[in-house]
Amino acid sequence: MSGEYILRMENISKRFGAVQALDNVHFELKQGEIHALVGENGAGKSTFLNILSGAYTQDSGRILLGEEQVTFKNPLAAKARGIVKVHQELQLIPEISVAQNMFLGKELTGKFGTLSYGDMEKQADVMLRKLNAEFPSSVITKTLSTAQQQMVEIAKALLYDFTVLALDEPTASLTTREIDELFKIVKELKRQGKSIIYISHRMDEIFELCDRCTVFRDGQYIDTVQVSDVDKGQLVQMMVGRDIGSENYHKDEPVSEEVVLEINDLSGENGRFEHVSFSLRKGEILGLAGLVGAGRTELVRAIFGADRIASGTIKLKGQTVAIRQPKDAINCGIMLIPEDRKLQGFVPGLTNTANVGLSRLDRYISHFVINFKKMEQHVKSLTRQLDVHPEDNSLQTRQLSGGNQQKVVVAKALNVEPDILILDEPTRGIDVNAKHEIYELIRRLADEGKSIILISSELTEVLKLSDRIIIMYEGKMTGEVDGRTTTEDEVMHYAVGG
Amino acid sequence: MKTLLKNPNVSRKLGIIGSLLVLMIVFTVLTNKFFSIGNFLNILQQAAINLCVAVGMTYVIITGGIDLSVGSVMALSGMIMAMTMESGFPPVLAVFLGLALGACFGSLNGVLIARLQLQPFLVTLGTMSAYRGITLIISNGLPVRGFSSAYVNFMNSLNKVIPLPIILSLILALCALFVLRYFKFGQYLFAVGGNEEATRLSGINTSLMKIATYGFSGFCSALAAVIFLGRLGAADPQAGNGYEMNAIAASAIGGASLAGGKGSIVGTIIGCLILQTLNNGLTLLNVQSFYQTFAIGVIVLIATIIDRYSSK
Repeated sequence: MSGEYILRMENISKRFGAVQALDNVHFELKQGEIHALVGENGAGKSTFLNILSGAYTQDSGRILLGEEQVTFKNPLAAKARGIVKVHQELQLIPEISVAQNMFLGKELTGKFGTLSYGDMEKQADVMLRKLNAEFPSSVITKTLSTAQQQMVEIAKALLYDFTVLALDEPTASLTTREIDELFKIVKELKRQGKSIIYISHRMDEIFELCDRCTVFRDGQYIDTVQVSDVDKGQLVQMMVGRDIGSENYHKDEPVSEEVVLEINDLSGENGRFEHVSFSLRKGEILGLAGLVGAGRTELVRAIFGADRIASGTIKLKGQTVAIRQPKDAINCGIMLIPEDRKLQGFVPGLTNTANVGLSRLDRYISHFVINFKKMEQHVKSLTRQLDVHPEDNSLQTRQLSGGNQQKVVVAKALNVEPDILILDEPTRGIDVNAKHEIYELIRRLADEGKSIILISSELTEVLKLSDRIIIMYEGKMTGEVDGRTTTEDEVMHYAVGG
Repeated sequence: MKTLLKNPNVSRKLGIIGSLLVLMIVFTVLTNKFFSIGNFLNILQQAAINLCVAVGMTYVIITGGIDLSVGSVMALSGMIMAMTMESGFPPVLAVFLGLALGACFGSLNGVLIARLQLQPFLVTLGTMSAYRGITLIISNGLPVRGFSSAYVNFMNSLNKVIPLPIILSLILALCALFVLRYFKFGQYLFAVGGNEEATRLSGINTSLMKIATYGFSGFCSALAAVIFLGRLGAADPQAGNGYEMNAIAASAIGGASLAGGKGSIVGTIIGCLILQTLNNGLTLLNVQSFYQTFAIGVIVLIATIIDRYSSK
């Protein structure tokens, strides 16, 4: 395990306009280690990886491979020296085969410059088998699950015979089972002597997988530690610079008995979920647990009117309501914070003011036209409440960090003053501190008498917050447990089919 | 003022206004026939039809769509107006009928695009040909003349002061500008163009929005037909061929992005004026029309290049 340093990055600095993204940071990687790189959003992790993989050039500092100083002009140059990065957002072309994707840009050709599909598929299959993949390289990429596509990315990296593999939040959209599979692969790669840089916001993964851990904060190097020498609390404290307090967001008093929402025998189109029934009480936080693909997102989208319902009824305070489009749901006091922030949450080119105001423009109309001053002031009061940074709401939402974008989406949802708020993966890809703020907000909203439905792939998150948890498996409800007394094992038992 | 200049939208608008001024100065220097009130009114009047069509087009482009059927909608609604007047309909009624039908023709595009989720380019390519076909069928391919002297006289009644086409097109443009800036509808247009799904999930009926937008574009084309009939005193089944390209060009010069979510009516007005000034000036200089076509192409390319690099 204690190999030589194969990669050293010294005094790396990088500035973008007014922002010092990296300030004199260090990083050392041994052969055959899994090295975690952690920090909040905006700590500089992505910039750092982009410099390592040749996408950016550092302003100052040097990169050493062994004893040799190197500069990478572009990602291809870095790849040629065995440094490969698997992106957070997968970069595969959906319509072509796995083999074509893996050989994109370095296709094998035959005598007359024609493509040798057979050879490419054969070689690609060899790589896929190394990763225990269960699909052949001839399949069209878009038919694979996210986890399988990630495997393709790693298999593609194997083609380059890499020495350093950088994984940027590889588990963000994987199921528990797929994560186990990925961990096996990563450990196997380590056994073969490869070095891995691992970025994740999930503490558990770092403790399960990594040997050492380097912490960045606000573009500064904080420390590098042996993972076995620290505990979770210490690591989080290094990341955020302070203690973020209790990890339990449960309330002491029991939830009110008043039922606000009743779902009766609801089934979605194409059987994505079937015969689901549950009720939601006033001031309750109801967790929806299950593996990715269990039908949780489809269920809440149908309740919100974003997708069609095949059969079943929705009752609001005892009255059956017809929800055909999101507009109807909002009029009923139901609001959804969607799963995919970038694709469904906000309009990237609009300002924060416009995005937050979008859901309730009626509010700001006086004398038939929009009163922009009124809109700005009202939105300001919402974004201030949620502590959106930077405070300037005339910025385009796309310019904000992930956590702050999410706060803008939350502000937009709160703007319709919903009685029932559905949050689908509200903390995906955001940092520890912002997560904590979102948890506190959910608690506060419930205390104010709003009812919450919470979906999260992070089981600990559901357990921390929920009064009650419903578990789904392959489109059906398999269990319901008390959120305060249940255990991770009990929930997982139902999540894999009961 | 400094912050105003930093705003890319404002600096872009100042840029195209500057280009228009430069163009005008160049022509003023090159020919003494250019700089006169009469000629300016002439330019505005010639630009009126394209301005009407381009205003509708800008709305459509902001939503991320495109409307290739505008020229055909103009010809068809113009033909219907002329034929109804010829058969004895009062002109006012015929005009209202034409405008309403124009909006319907446009809305049909919108229904196909929003409800059946078809691609705007293909839908309007189809209706472009279909509407043109209907126009040729009902007119037997022949122009309709002499349908109502009262109408033609009225449309030309203000020519000595400010020609009616200028007034109509500017009223349309100003209304569109006002709606885009200060009405919910305008805000939603940008939101739909920027991210349709996020807009829908914010509780906005995006499919109704799109139908209304294409309907508006059809209405604008019909208004262009009203002007066309007045100026020519005839309805031509071949009228409006290629107008979609002029309208797209004017929108693009004015800063609209075919990717959606971006565009402005002020920009489109100036875009129309740049195209028409170029036409007018080159004609006064006796430059062959072949060169005018070439010059317009070059201007569109330059505007696109400037856009690409100013937004980075």
